[in-house]
Amino acid sequence: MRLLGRGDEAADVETFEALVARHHTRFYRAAYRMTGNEQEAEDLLQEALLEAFRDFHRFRPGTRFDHWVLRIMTHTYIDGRRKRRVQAVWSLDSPPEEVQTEYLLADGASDPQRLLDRAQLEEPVQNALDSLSSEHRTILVLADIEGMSYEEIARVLRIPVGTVRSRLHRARERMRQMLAPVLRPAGMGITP
Amino acid sequence: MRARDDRLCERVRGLLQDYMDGRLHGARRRTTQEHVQRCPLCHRELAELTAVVQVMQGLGNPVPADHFWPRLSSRLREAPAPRSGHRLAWVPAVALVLVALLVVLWLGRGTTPNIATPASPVESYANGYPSSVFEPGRGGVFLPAGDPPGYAPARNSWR
Repeated sequence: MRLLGRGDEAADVETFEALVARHHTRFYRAAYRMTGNEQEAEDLLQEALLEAFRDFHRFRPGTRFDHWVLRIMTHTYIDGRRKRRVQAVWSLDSPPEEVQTEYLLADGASDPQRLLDRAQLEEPVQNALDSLSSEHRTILVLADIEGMSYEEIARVLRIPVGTVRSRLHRARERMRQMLAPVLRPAGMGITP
Repeated sequence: MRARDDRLCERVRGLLQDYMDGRLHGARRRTTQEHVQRCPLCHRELAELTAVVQVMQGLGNPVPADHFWPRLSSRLREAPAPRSGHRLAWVPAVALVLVALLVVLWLGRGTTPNIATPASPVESYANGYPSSVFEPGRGGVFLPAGDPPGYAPARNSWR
């Protein structure tokens, strides 16, 4: 097996790109759901992948490349949010961040067929996601959008499984409260 | 009876997500399942939680702008190569610091002020003994137990 980061730069880039190509949909989807818009998603993904490439020698072939990159991406995202929060405290001119939840409670509930259309739910769900803290949003994205288990998330984020569970449950409960008015009339859900 | 039901509801609600994720087993799973089937409020809460997860799973796959991947590819080629992964990469740096430290210590040895240079009869006396016997800060001479060989001056007779 060829060692990474051993001076053959062109080969390193090609190996890295081949691995990224296998998971690019997942990477961009996670970045988009975390940030909530295209521009920030592209910035986040680019920053995470450049960081991953610089640290490519740390990646052990045979382990999950997608999980490794997702870990770098989530840390990049959470760090970025923290820095922005600190900047926001010092920036008196910046308007406060608004959480748009009003329309979740609006009239759209009257037409179940319309609500059942997933495309119609895209915006309310993304807005509800955006209103969560970065830690809760990250776990929700990894669990319910990327389909990772509690244990996988714990490994990726390097936090205890119990923390994953409590954060995930809190995040879902918050999503339920925000989305219930939209989902309920559509009759979505299961019969246990 | 009502209070008991409320307590059970509260307990079951704390378990709904574990139940939904298939992480409940045995008696707790059975209790939760039975309760949810007969309690409309808990039933609805479970249905809503399940719907939230289903909707999240069903979100579309966004795609980046067309120029994103080609631009990233160029940036990767311009970026510094992955750092060396050798586990002992820190050894040369530590060795360099140690060598520098040794050089500084060695050079520093030659620049220590020579304090035992009084131009007096004490000089010849002190020079005949280990430097520890001479304490210039005290303005005098502490004589060792014995005199230097072949030397028997009157004590501080030069004064």
